[in-house]
Amino acid sequence: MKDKKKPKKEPQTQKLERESIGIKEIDSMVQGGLPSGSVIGLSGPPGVGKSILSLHFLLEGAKKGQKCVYINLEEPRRNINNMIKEFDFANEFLELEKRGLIIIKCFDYPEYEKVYTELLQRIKDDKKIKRLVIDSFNCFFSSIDNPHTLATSINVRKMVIDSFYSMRRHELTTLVILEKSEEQGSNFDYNIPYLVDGIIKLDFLDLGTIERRIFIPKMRWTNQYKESKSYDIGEKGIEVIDEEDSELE
Amino acid sequence: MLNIKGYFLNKLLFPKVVVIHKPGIIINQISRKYGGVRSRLRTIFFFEDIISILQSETIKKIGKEKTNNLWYKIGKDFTTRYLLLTKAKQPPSFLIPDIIKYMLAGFRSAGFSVAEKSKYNNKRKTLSLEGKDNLLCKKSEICEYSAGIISALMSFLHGTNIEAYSKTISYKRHFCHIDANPDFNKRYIPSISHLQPSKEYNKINFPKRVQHKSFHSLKDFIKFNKVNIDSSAKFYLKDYVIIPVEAGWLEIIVEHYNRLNLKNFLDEIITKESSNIAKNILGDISQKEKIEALIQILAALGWGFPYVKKSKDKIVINLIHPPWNKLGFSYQPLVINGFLNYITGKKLNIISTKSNKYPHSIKIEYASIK
Repeated sequence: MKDKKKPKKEPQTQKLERESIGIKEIDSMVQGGLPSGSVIGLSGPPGVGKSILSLHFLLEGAKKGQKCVYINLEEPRRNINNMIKEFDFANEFLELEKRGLIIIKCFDYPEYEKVYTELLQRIKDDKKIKRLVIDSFNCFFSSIDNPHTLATSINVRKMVIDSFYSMRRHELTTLVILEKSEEQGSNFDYNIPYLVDGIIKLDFLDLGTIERRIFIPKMRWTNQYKESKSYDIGEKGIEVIDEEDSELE
Repeated sequence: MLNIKGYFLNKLLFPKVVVIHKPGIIINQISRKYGGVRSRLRTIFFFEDIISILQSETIKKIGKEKTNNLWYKIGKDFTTRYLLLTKAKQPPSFLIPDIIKYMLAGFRSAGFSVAEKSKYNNKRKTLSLEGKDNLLCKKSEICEYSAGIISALMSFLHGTNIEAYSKTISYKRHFCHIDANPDFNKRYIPSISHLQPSKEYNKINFPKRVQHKSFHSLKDFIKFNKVNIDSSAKFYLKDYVIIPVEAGWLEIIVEHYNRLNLKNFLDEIITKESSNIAKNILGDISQKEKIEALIQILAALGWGFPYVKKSKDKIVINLIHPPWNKLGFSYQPLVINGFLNYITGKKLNIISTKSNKYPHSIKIEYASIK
């Protein structure tokens, strides 16, 4: 009996799935998008455009038929509406919300503290939810020693770790927004830069005219663009400036 | 076999330098195990062009020989002050060749390529250096400033006054040749007591708590490509080379010009050149934006925290935590004067300067004289 040699199997290389942010120049900085199933930190000072970037992220997912959830822990719903309405994509965004593809939940912190475990568990269980934004994660820290909450330094650390555990599941890509100002010391981080799979940093320089830049210092499983790029905030939301074109003769 | 000399040099003698860039305040922290020394220098960035043009104009005013002598003294005073600030200790003579190599490498990394080629004789205590495209002298051809630096260093290393001379080899290639030799005639001896920093230097220059509205640091400027660093470690703000220096150096320049009754001339040159620089850096934006840009530039260059108040007849600049030294504070107000002249389109003058030590602040009033 002749030995039948089994044909050699070609090793299967699985291409990592990526979720587009919705801004092609930023997608190109991360090989086409954020790794699917990752938790990404979006940090920067107030007013730099973090919430606006997260709107692009939600809109892009909803346009693809993905269910997207936006949890805001600092602003009331009317402020979110006002922010959305500043941009050309407002009608499309709100239409997608009506169809149930974008879900916006606003809590104040004491409410959130009561419901977050259950909320994150529901998000984890609902496999239709593909994108999640938490805006912002800082509310955890600012609530420490607040007499109306149960937050202390130790249980905030536990809440952060529990939240990250809940956010991690297959096909759920999460953006956590991290407000940061110069005055805050490193302790406020609670090791979040180590817990996340990637960090997108937005920053601005006020030299009379305001300049904004995006920089991606960390993105697991990605050969990210190593330089920073300039961007502006206009009617279309975040618009990355092509720096080669912007040089004048 | 354990290299004891290498160990001694690297671990104990050669200082560790850390530069701390904060908005408004730049600190050069130097620590050295040999002698258990830690010292801090309040550092600011200044525009190379202003000084280069000052040197060139001074040649036209008083002639090359006098300008060379003037800048030789400035270079020697600056280095002497630097050695006093860093509490440098005279090393054992067998280590001097290695220390010279280390210092020259440090010069190269700071943009002073004067040390591209060097020849040192420990027995005869002589040093010859050659290099090109040095900061300052590449534009003005005044190599005597670098000669003053070398003279001060050699004098310190050997514990005896050693003078130096320089010559420009070729104008086109901006080449400097410097010789230091104990046999040269006496040229200039710095006054140690005058250059010695005051006991209050640390207390005033390095405030413990600083809380001000959002200002940018040099690091922010680098991040946003406003300041670039080239392969020879030169910093550029737009197209202008900016040089980090201990803040007292600028006042040494003012002092020496004062001694030659050239203070008015100096004021005019600094203000005029600053105005030209402002035109290119600030560009075509609104006046309000120009003032905001000036504020951020001064903060990023380590000049403190500027606050500007404008009224009909005058502009008041309040600098909080600017660099302080006992030699004075004349240079920076002139540069700001130049910038304000461009911003306002008027010829302003300094009307008054008031300072406060704790916390350190300086209030400068500018107005146009009718």
